[in-house]
Amino acid sequence: MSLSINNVTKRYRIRARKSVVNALNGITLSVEKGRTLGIVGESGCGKSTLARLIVGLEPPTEGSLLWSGSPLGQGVKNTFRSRHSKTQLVFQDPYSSLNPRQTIGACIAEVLKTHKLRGDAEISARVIELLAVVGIAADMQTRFPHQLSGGQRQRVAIARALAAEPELLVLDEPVSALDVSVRADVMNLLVDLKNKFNLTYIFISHDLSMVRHISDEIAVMYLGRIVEYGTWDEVLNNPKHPYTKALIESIPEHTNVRGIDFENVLEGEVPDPANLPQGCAFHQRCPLAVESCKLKVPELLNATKSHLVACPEVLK
Amino acid sequence: MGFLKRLASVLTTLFGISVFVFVVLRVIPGDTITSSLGIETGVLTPEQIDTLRAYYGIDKPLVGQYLSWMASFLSGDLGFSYSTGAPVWDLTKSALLVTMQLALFGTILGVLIGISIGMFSARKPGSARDFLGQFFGLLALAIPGFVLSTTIVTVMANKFQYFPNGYEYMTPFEDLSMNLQQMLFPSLVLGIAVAAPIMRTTRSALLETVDKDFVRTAYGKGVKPRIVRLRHVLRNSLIPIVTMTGIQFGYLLGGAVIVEKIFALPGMGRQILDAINKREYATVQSSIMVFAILFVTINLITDWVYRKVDPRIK
Repeated sequence: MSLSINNVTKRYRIRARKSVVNALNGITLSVEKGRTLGIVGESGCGKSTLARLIVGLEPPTEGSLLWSGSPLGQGVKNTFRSRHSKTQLVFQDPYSSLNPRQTIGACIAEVLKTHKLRGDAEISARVIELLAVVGIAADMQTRFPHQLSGGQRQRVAIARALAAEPELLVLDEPVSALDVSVRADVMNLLVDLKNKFNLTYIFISHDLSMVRHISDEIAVMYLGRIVEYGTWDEVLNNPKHPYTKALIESIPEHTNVRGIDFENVLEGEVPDPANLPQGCAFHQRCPLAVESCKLKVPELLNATKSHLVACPEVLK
Repeated sequence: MGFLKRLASVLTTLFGISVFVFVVLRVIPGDTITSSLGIETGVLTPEQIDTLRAYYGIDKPLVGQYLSWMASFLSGDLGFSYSTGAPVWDLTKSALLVTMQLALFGTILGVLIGISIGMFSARKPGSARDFLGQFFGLLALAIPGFVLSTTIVTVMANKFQYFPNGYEYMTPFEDLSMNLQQMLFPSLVLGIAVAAPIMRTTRSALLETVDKDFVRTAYGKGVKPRIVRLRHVLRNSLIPIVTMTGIQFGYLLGGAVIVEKIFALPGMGRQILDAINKREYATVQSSIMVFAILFVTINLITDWVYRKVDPRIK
């Protein structure tokens, strides 16, 4: 039982500009059941696109996504229901991801009815049970989303995802829209749920300090490619790729205020994904770039057995 | 508090309308006497004219005329029609029924056609089906009601020998089947006219909603696309559609004069038009007031529907 993503690309055609946006450019990843993969990267690097592909909201342009051997994101019509019940997504913004005209009870019940997970008589009991799992009182089920706080809404969104009895949960920045004070609560809830239901997580964030708390493995993305992959310890404490180094240095810290000494501050902008540079997508901003970086897209190479880096220069 | 405020503004509006209609009627040239006697008015002596003016009650100062009309209107006496002698309330009652039925059927048809085509169009913006839907919208907007009406009358009567409006008008209580047949074509004409703005509103409201995150959530739940479109997208796009429907319904109540004339339906539009031609002050004023009251009531109902549609509006 595992998720395997094989050389997946996703391109969006933009008709008005007559151009093609390369959101994902050959992603290969695998996640073992019961593990948590953290995916980090800045805005626009393709994290959320990957999330949507994993839950089958969109098909990949090329490549395949398999969950325990069966494909995701293909044959949309036939296996629509069963497919979605195995992989579920929790969205970033709990303010906009819940239907404002639907009570939270109805929102969760809709999942049960769609997938026919419970008989009609058992639905309301199951809704109360799911709300209890995420720490929401049963009498809240008649409330509308606007009557709830951000943290409560995200709990509802999590309950809604759990209602489908998924094996894999994709968490697309689940806490970044929340107040700092409730982030820890929701993070702890996620950890508890994972152990309780034996879930596999894909935790997407631009915030490395959140990823650190929950991930077993971490993948760093830049412009639709994975540039570094390894256990959280390897990636965060021994980063190899210059982009990862810059990303880690950008984490604000409340200690060591005086000794600010950024070695790897990035300059320039992220290139346009509709017009990718030749060779390594990072070479224009990379302090280590040499002539050969402009010619060939670097492959992921082993730094150690479990630590992969897409930069031949740092491995020399 | 909110309701009292609404009520105050509604009453102010009604007062304004009553004054406006009263003044406009006196400003247009001619009065009850000239319009009933025509050029013969010139034969009358000044004494005879004065007697007639006193008889019709239009010799008093305007403010006095307004107040006495208003007072009897408020006490439920709408006056009577000079030409037929019938009380205005009796005329209005039957005419109102015709107009209301017509407006209701027209709106229902308009909403059905408009929302369907709007949804059809919004499925894929910029595609051929969108173009088709928008083309219909423009066509429905561009064809005047009288062209469509006369075309239907001509084709149905000449080619198919089917023209229920040629017979005497039947109320739904007298002969329901005949009544529905007589209502069919005029409702269709009005429905098509109303469908155009509703279609456009539906399309743009849907396009705004489909990109919302909660729609993606619904797809993520595994809900069937058709159900997502109805339960999540359409439901959250209803506010502008309800608004537009309310406006169109009000417009139908007042603007169906031509259709009523062509299809020989004794509705409010026809009644007021005839009354204006005959300068029957009481008939015009009272009919329009009944109309206005109806109109603002519909607006209040629309507000109430908002609250039903959107639980957030308190």
